Amino acid sequence: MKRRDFITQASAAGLSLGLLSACGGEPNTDNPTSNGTSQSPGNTLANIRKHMPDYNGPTPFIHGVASGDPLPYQVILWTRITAEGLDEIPVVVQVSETPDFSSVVYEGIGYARSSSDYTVKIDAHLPQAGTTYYYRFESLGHLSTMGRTRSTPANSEQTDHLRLAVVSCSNYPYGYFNAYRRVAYRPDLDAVIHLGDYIYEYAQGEYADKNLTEKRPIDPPHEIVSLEDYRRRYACYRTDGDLQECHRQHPFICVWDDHEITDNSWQGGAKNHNPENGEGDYLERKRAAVKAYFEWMPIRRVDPDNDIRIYRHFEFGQLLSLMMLDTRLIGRSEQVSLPSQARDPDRQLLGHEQEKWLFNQLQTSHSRGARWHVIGQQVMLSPLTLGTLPDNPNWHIGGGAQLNYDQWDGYEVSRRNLLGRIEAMGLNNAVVLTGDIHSSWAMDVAVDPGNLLLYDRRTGEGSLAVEFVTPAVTSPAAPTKGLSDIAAAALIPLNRHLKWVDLYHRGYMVLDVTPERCKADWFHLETVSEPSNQEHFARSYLTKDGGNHVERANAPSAPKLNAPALAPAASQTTEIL
Amino acid sequence: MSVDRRKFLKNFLVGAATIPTLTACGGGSGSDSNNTNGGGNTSPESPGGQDSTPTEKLQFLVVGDTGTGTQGQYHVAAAMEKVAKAQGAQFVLGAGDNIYEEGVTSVDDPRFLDSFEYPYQNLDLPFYMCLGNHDCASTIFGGGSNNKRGDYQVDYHYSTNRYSNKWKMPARFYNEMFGKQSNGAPFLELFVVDSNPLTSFYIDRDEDFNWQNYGYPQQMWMKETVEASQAHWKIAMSHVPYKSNGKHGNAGNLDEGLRILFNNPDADGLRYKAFLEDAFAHKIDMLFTGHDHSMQWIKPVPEFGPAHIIVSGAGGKTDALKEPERNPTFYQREEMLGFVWVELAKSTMKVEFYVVDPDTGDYRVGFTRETTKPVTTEAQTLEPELV
Repeated sequence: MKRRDFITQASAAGLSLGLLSACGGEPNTDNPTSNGTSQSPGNTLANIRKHMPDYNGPTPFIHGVASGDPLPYQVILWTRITAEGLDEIPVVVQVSETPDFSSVVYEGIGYARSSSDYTVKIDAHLPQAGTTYYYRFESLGHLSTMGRTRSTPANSEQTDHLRLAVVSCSNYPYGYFNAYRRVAYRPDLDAVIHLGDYIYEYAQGEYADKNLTEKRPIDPPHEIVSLEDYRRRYACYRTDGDLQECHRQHPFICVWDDHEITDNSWQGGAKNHNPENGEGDYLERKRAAVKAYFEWMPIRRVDPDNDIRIYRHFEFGQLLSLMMLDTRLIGRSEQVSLPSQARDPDRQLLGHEQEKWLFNQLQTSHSRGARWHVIGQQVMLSPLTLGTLPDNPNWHIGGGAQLNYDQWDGYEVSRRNLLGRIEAMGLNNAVVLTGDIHSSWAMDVAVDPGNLLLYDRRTGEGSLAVEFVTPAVTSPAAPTKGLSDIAAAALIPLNRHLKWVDLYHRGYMVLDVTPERCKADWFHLETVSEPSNQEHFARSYLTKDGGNHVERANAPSAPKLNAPALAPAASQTTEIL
Repeated sequence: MSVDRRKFLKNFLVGAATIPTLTACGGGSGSDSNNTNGGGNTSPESPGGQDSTPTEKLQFLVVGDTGTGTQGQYHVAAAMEKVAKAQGAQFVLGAGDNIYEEGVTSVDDPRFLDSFEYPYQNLDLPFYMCLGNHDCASTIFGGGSNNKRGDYQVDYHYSTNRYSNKWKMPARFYNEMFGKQSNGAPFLELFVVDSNPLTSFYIDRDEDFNWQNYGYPQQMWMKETVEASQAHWKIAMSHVPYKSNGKHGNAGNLDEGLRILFNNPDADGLRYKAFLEDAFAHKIDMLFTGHDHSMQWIKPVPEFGPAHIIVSGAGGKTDALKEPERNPTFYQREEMLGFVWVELAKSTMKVEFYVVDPDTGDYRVGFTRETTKPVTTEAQTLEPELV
């Protein structure tokens, strides 16, 4: 990046202050260099430090630090201040190329306010694309633990290798976040993609491992409905050490699924929203859930006029475009239970605006020559049936008995629109990432997988894309491995596009991307009933450049060489300056 | 046919090839299925374009599903003639199904005479034509599985041996500009869609017309052309409706209940609907279609923006409205022939529906409405494309 561009961009951020090394000065954090927007002479780092409110308590950084929504020259940095009796608390952040903070490249300031539940988000400007940075916050005489983040490669860059962890469905009372712990340990990741169900809304004991009630109690203990409830639930989750560590080491790219609001939510309601039980107005609850989400998650607001919009895209050099969708709140019609209803042409999963945006993004990604077009979303795109029959939309006979109308199966027209567009564009290398279903799946994505003339299960011919489904961090699917194996043995013959399913294990996926292939490695955990470092490589499927169908691979991808060091463990969390 | 040969033929046609020359060149196929045949541009002879003074008003007629060659078509033609004389009209839009029941099979097919030239011989206006399913069919059912046949209708545009110079179809899909504003930009730009390959009842086995080779490139061309347009008024024409209360119905659910007879999964028009919204929503002022043999003025719908949606498909055949409540309308009329007269001024448009009795030829105004221009220039802001 040209230095001038960097300065221009940095100046555009009203909150950035120092920019010292980029401006050619010494990396002296007290230098009150103004960069044009911080006009007030009082609004300097030195002044801010001098005028910190009086505070004698313990470290205010008890919910850790986080980063997210990385761009080539920007990343969201997040923390929260816990300091009783104070409001409007200044928080300074420093970003450095090295863990010793000897070369600070950015300094910014944010304010922890009661109106945002004392969370602070700073959209930091970074001088280099595709680079790992270290950051820490400073407030009330304390330093936060050190975080580590990474900018994405510049859009035009010929990136030859990316690694992304993919996680979903992290239910705190259902187990230990061993998956987050394992992901945190991987120094070679470019980012972590969270496909939703980051929190669960239930009351204590309602959807939980009964043996963990004592060890992993949730707060608040009742089902969360109000803004205060949602905030407390996020705060509860964020006290988890493994989750904190995962956030500390990697930038997250998150979208919500239903449980960030309530089970099986859609645009105008949810299965688990019961006004008759005093849960009030759904739209109010949705607003509360969305507000708390934006407060607590390291996500960038993409549309200032639309609080509820989280669909957005990322570019990882020429190698990959990532489109993150919202299949829950912004456009989803109410769930139905019959195939005939599922085919109603007026029903929507994404909504007109988002669908239009997605199609434009696919075209943009195609035109800019990105190798892989990755769609990160919540619910399974491919059909899941008890017998796949040919499915010509003119005949309405096919598709078999679909099992879950909460996923794209319940929104036939939306699915046909998307697959029809991919087909019409002649788009190669579309990869769909899915969460929600607490299990691991590898599938070809065909318009009509039950039609022998249109899809060949042996060669994958007729497949338009691939779908990789990541298992849950903790939420359960099949109660035993035996049951899982039986179900898998039944489902695979009935669903011709389905290549592999594991309904038992919790874990995560690592997406390893090179120009030659896009590969998903599934890692499964031994247990979530107790803290554990044990994981095993479960399976691996890949799709080759231009292949558009999955093939099994025998071994997990090799880690990246010379991965940047993890942020050192927090030794100076409570250092008085 | 090789690409080179196609080009050769096309150049020949654009030049001054006569039909006999063409036939001598190799057997009755003066067609050009190459996609370069789509996306034709303005011819220099655009009506209203020669004058250097800015256009104040434009008037035109819209008629669809005309090509029966029967008494009804002559009745409508006679009424159009009188309306054009009394109120003015600079051109005619023909919304497809120009030649029933199965199009033409050569550029000198006599059905050009029977279904177009003779019925309109007293109406001396250029006709901007669009392809319908019957123009691309190989059976009387109009299944649309023979798109290549539509090429003869493009060839007729370039034929020097034709009966008159009225027939305008410079390409299977094209744009055309009319009049000019004081800044030199066109007063009106017309965008003509070839909808049959996108919605035909039966699959066309000719790969040149599938979505990858034809549908999507047409969609991209249309979208870019509309986006680049500097015209004050923007109007689109297609054969298959976007919304209709007739038997064919709304794109996305076309021919509900009939589709069991069809084998093309795109026959419901789901991708066609997305095409129209992608290319035209919030950008054009009016969309004219045919296909259903009735007259309908459908109110704007949110996902398409402020555009008025007009079905004018009663130029030669009549039909009942199947579901009059399907879409809210300003006006609709079934079981009568008819056409539409439009007058565009700077900031207003006037639309008159004419109803023609199929037996007697008596005609009258069925409905008139004057309204402000749907798309205001200020509203044409760029969509936010953040992050």
